[in-house]
Amino acid sequence: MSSLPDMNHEDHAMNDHEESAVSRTKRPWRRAVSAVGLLAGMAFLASCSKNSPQDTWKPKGENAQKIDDLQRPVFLVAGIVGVLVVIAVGYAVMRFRDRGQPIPKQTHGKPALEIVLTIIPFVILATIGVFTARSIVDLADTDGCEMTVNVTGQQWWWEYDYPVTPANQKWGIEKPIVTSGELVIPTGTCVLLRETSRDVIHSYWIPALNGKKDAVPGRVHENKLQADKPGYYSGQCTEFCGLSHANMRQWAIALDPPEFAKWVENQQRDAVAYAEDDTSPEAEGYRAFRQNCSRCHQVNGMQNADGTPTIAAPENNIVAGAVPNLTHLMSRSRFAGATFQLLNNDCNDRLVKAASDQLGAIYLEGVDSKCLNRQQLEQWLRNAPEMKPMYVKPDEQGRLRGMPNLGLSEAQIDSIVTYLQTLK
Amino acid sequence: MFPTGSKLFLGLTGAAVAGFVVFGFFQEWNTVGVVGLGSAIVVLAFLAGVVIYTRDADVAAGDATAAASAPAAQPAPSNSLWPLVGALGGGLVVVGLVTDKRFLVGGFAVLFVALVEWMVQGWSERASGDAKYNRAVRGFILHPLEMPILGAIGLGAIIFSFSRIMLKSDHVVGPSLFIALAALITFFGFVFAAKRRPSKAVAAGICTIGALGILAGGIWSAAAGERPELAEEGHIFRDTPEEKSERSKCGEEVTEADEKASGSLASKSSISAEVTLRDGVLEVREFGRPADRLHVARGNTVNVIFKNEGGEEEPRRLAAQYLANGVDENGKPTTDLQQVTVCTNAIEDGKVQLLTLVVPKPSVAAPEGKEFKIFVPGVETAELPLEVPA
Repeated sequence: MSSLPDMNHEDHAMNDHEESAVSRTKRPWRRAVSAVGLLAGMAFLASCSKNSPQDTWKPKGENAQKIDDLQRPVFLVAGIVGVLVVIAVGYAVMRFRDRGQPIPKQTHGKPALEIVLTIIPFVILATIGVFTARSIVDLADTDGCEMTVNVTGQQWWWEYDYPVTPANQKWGIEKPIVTSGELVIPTGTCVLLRETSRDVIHSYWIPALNGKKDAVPGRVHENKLQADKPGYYSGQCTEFCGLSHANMRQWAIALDPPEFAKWVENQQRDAVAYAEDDTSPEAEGYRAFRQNCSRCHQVNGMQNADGTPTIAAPENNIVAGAVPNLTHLMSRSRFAGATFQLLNNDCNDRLVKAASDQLGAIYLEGVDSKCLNRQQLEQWLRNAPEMKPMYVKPDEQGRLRGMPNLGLSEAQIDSIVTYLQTLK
Repeated sequence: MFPTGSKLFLGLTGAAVAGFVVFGFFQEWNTVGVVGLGSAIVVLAFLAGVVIYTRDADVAAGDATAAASAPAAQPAPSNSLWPLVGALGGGLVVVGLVTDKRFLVGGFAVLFVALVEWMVQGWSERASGDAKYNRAVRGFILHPLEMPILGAIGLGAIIFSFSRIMLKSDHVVGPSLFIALAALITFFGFVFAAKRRPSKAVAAGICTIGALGILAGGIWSAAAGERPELAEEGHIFRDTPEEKSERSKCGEEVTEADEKASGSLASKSSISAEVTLRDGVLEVREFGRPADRLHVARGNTVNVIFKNEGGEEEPRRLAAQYLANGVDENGKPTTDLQQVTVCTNAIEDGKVQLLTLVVPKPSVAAPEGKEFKIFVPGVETAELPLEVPA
């Protein structure tokens, strides 16, 4: 009897030992299952995002649809292959794990299996390759495009230049249109983009309308966009291009052809030139703008005091040699590389969430005094580099990258914003 | 009394003394030569003394071990090619002094290499009595320098040769060569992968033959010159200040060797527009599409191809006229606008030229009479607007 406690103790010790051994073997599995569950949960939750304007799985035009038609089966095949490989590896790990058994006879090669395992990936990749090549050729074919826009990237905004070509003249473009941040295109139309850059390499991408294409200084790369329905499509520079790369946004606004024609007509108008003796707040702002902003920013139609056209000289002040033309600033919904809203939140929501048949009319309203996000615009004029990181140190020729802090007084800021509101 | 070696130095010392006296006497003891000859007397006398003292470094006849194992007792090292290479370097230096700076620099480089190699070879061959060890010592010192440099030179030669071949090859031969080379590499790669024990010698032999083939092709291509359409681009003006002013005048023809051809290749691969002179008028095609003007985005680099298909005997050039900021005495841009004219060189009928434009100002800035335009000097009807939006 006296030995019982000892025996029990030994049994307990043995049981503890076995339990701990079992738990040691089980715990890694629990951890693995937990990790896989966590990852699957994260992937599942991420896939449920509704506010994802740059979702590559939601094509809104012919070109993006071609990419989508290619990527879905490829992902499906890759997923099946991935699952099969994971199962095979898991089976091999479990089935042949070390349990103290003798090492089996070692052999080299199994030609039949190796050939099969070579042929299967070859066939899969060759099939994918054929369809990929066909898609690439289709996407590179710009011959049928009915409109041309020159797209130029620079730190950290995009310029859109609609040249006067026979094709563009059919859309009413009789005078070059230069705008920035927002690319306005007609729906159901293949729009040829000629992309280049004035400083470093950028990359243009509107995921809902097509794949990305690099904009390289000294070279012109052709791309094309087509939107099926009116819409407000988001994009992002996808080539790291310096300090404010993350703030280099782009938007494509697709309008029905009649609304696009109205937009074209408006964009070709010059801004009002105020008389020098005009004392209205807008005229005061006009002169304040001319004094402080027109060294870099062009406003078509603006005149110097002697009546000659005011020509901006961005090449003297900015490394890229260009800054946004502000002639129709208030016809856009964003500013500063399309990063900040010109519209307040209510008006912005009204635009972004508009039904496709209403979007054009809302967009063409532009920014009126009720919708203006005045606070943010004033903040920008107060100290631009504080809102959007930019290099403030000038280069050897005294030129900057981005807009500097101009040191404007509150009265000047107020006056300039008043004038900017007239630029519709 | 005097060992053999010392007699040479004694004789040289005597000659130096004689020279010193004669030269000093006739030059009144007042020239650099006197100092040099005096220095020579001191050095040669010192060497003579050392040789006499060491008895020509003869190993004593009784010291059998030293006689057999001392470095000095080893057979004389084999002949060295480095003095010959050094002489070649010296020759290059002389040629370079009277012809081209590149020969001069190359000559000095060859001289330096020969000097280092010869010095290390001379030292290593006497490092010990063991020839194998001596070779290992030489390799230990020089291989870390020789291998990367020779590798870089070899790789550079192959890349350069390949580039010469591609610059010579036209659009049919170039891709064909690429395909053939890729097929060959794949074939040999497959053959070697299929073999269990591929022979190193065979692999080295194939690589050597391939490299020699590319080098030979490169030499032949370089000698034959680049393909005609590239060589023509050699007339593009360089961007030196002097030539900029020359270019702006669009006056006298400036020709230069075809060294610029490679540089223009990249520009020619991204053409924004083709401007053709035909029947006395200019025709523009922007990205293959006809246009009634040349549209250039402000501040962008734009490459334009000019084709002379005018059918005239007289060579023609394309010129572009626009406005740009002036420059102050410090080279900084001013707000004053100046009219600028850039142009290609004049080319004969059927030829092609490249014009690269960067227009900083919008065309709306032009006052009357100074409108932005492209034109062919001497052909009044060949003129089109150059449109640069604001």
